[in-house]
Amino acid sequence: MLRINDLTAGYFPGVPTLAAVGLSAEKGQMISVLGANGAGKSTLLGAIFGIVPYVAGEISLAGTSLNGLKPHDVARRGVRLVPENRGTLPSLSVHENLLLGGLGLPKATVAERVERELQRFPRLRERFTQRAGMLSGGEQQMLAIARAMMAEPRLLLLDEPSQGLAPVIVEQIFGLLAELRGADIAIVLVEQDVGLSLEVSDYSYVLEKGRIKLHAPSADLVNNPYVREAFLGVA
Amino acid sequence: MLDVLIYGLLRGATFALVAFGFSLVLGVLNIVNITHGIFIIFGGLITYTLFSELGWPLPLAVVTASLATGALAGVLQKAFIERVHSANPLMVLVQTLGLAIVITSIFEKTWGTSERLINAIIPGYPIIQVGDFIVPTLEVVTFVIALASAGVLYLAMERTEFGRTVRACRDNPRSAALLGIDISGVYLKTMIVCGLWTGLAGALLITTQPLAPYMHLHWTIEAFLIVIIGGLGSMPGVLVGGLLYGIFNHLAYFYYPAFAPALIFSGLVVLLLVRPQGVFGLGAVIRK
Amino acid sequence: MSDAKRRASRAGIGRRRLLKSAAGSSALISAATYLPGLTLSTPAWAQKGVVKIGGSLPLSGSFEKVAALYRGGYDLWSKTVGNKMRVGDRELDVEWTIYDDEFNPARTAQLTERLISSDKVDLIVGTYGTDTVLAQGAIARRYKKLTIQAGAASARVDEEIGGTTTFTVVGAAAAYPRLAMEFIAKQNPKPKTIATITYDDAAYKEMTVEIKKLAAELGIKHVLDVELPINTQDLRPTVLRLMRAGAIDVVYSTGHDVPVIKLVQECQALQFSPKALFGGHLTTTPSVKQALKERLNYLYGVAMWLPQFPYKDPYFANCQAFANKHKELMGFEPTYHAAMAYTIPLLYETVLRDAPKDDPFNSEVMRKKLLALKGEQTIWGPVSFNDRGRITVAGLPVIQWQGQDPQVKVLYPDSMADGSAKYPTPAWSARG
Repeated sequence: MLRINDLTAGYFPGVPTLAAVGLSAEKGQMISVLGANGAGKSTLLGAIFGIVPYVAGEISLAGTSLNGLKPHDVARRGVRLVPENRGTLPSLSVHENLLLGGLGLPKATVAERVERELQRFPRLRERFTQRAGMLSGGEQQMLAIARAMMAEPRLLLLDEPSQGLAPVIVEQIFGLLAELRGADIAIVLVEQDVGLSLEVSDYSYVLEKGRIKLHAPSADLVNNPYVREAFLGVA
Repeated sequence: MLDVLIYGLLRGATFALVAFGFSLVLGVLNIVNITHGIFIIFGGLITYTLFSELGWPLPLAVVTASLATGALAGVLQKAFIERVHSANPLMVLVQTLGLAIVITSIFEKTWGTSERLINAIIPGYPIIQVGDFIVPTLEVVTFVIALASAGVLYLAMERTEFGRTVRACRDNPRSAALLGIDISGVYLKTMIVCGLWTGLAGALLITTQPLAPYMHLHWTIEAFLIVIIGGLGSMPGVLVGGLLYGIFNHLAYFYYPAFAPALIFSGLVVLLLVRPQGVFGLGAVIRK
Repeated sequence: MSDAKRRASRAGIGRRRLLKSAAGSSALISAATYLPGLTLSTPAWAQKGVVKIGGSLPLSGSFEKVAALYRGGYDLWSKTVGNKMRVGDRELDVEWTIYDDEFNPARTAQLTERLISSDKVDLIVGTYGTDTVLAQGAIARRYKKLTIQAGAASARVDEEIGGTTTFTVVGAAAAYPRLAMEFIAKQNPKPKTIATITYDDAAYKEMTVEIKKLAAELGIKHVLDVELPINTQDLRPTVLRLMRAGAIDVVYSTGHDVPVIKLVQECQALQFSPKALFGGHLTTTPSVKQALKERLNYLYGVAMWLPQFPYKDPYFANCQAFANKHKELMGFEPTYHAAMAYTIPLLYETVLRDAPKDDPFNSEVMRKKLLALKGEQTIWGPVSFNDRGRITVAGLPVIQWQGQDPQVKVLYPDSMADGSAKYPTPAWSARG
């Protein structure tokens, strides 16, 4: 589904944050991208979405190139990003945020999917008419994911979904992610909690200083000495 | 006193109409658009030409002026503002000031430098008697149109998909783009909406106030003031701001004309001390 | 001083002669200021047979429009005299230098300096605006030059530079409403009350002071004065106050042309119709009629100048002939600005006709001659100056706009009248 080859990307010309990155994610697969702060994880997601200004290399979705597309065009090709700061629209209600998730779809479909997401996240039903800015962090994260799912994307990019959330909420959210896995969707997860990531994902890539250091099925990486030492804090 | 209040209220609705577009553009594009007053003048002078010179029926002239101003706003956005805006929104302030000066001189070549005013009455019912004072019927009609158009704009913003995309861009353009919203498209439409409503304001204004190209900056500032009074990012706030401004203006000029500007600005300063976010400002909800 | 020395030596004048020509304790300083005159052994007027006239106007900016009207007046004079001016027994070619002072006093001072020391103009005209006129006068005074100006009515000009450096052909503001008050008192039924609208500006306040004084003398009660900031947008509260003040027979509004438009607009909107409504001295500005159209009907005013006024000068038998020539050359009817500006070089021409042969542009000689003018006939009206260099005018003639396509009629004084008053003004609903 998603194919990235020899990707170099950065915010200033000649100063790549990412170099020679290659990865792929198939339909029904969840891959995770691991790395320390500043390794280039978010830049990778930004490059896919066309937010990063300097990009070279190939990014394609189901055989169509995404290179050079504006963010909204990438979104319209069935890609959704749940950004690090959740990206909910604070002055709009939960309902309106969800409606915008289904932008351009027939009204009936949108209504159906709103109902589906409310079933998936019952907390959002309680907050349905409130402004998104009034929600707690966990609720905002739920809203962000629900809103992304409104579009039934082919590719879902998640940037640090656990950040700043109470462990109970993290568990809840990752439980949901695990449910999403295996559907008609490719998921790229960028997450600091490496243990969790490896647990929920099929395949993982480790980024270091903008390059892919290693990649393997997630299950194999759990026991990889480098990963254990660098991320899991186990010698 | 009642008459002063009622006249102030009548004026205030048009003031609010002057400021809706300014508030919208300020909120969504995050720019102070100095060509705003140009839209007022353009709407007014187009109405003047169509009605007073070409003899069109007034309603048709007003609608056409509004549409023409919407088009002008769209052209300015697409041809000039968009490029500078994507580079640096603050630069738009300087850019639109330059545009306003250039357009003013084009207007002066087209319409001349003199003040224009439309003399129109509602045939058969020129005035309405309210107690012991009278109100020109046209001003009541203008008031109703101003309120109705405010209502339409409010519904368009709150109840339609277009309105949602506009508010999404106002809240967080980057997140909006991630949802598939074409931000520059929304900006263009926002500017056109601003032009439509502001052009309508100009068309209504010229029936009660003389307008000339050189007055554009006065109206830009007036719009800015009303937005500050009402509070950034709130459509009802702008309406209330406009009405309050109309009433306060009339009270100040009725009771203490010589000090009216000082009074009005002191009032504004006090208001901002008490409510820095304006009467209806969103303030706490949107953090940028 | 070193600059002066440099200039002096460049011009080939020995230092000794420079010092000798000066006297008194401030000799060196004044020597520097006299320099332009001294550096020329043969002045341009004698060398090339040219008289240089210079000045500045706010040719760009807010006053662009009015500056162009003044300039049109200067041009009209040049064309009328065929670009020649008789100075003493010689006929000299006229050469104009008009700079753009942008309505900026500092710039005006700089440009006046340049006119005098580098361009070496013989005569100075203009400019427009109190502060710019004062700036121009300050420099001219330093060089002992004269100016004739038409752009500032303020008494400050009289106090600071009037009569010594500057002559002013626009009348004192206090005189503007005099004839109007006389006229009002003669109407039947005689008005009992008057209210004034005064814009916050020295000249307008002077008018209101005069109106109050004359009202008392003429037995008309001054019941209300509404003082307004100069840029007042909305006249409705003002008209409301007039309506709430009880029976007001006459309303006299000072102020420029835009306030008149707003005032009449609001009077109509609220159906307020005093027996006489005076719109001040600028009701004849074209924009007023353009904006108000038939609503101008019945409005009174006072006029600085109109083509129907019975004045003449050596070139025009009457004001209409002047107006026709203006229209022919400029393409539009002249406003009072053109007549006023046209008269400035004409006055120089008048006093230079028998100028001394060796030093025709001697400021002191010209100054005395200007002060000595007694009712000199010009199309701007008879010209006499008081000792402060201000033109003396009895007052401004009273006019009324009349008809559905309103035209100006001169009503008063009787000697100038070409129509009669439609008094009292009917209610708005009865105006047809």
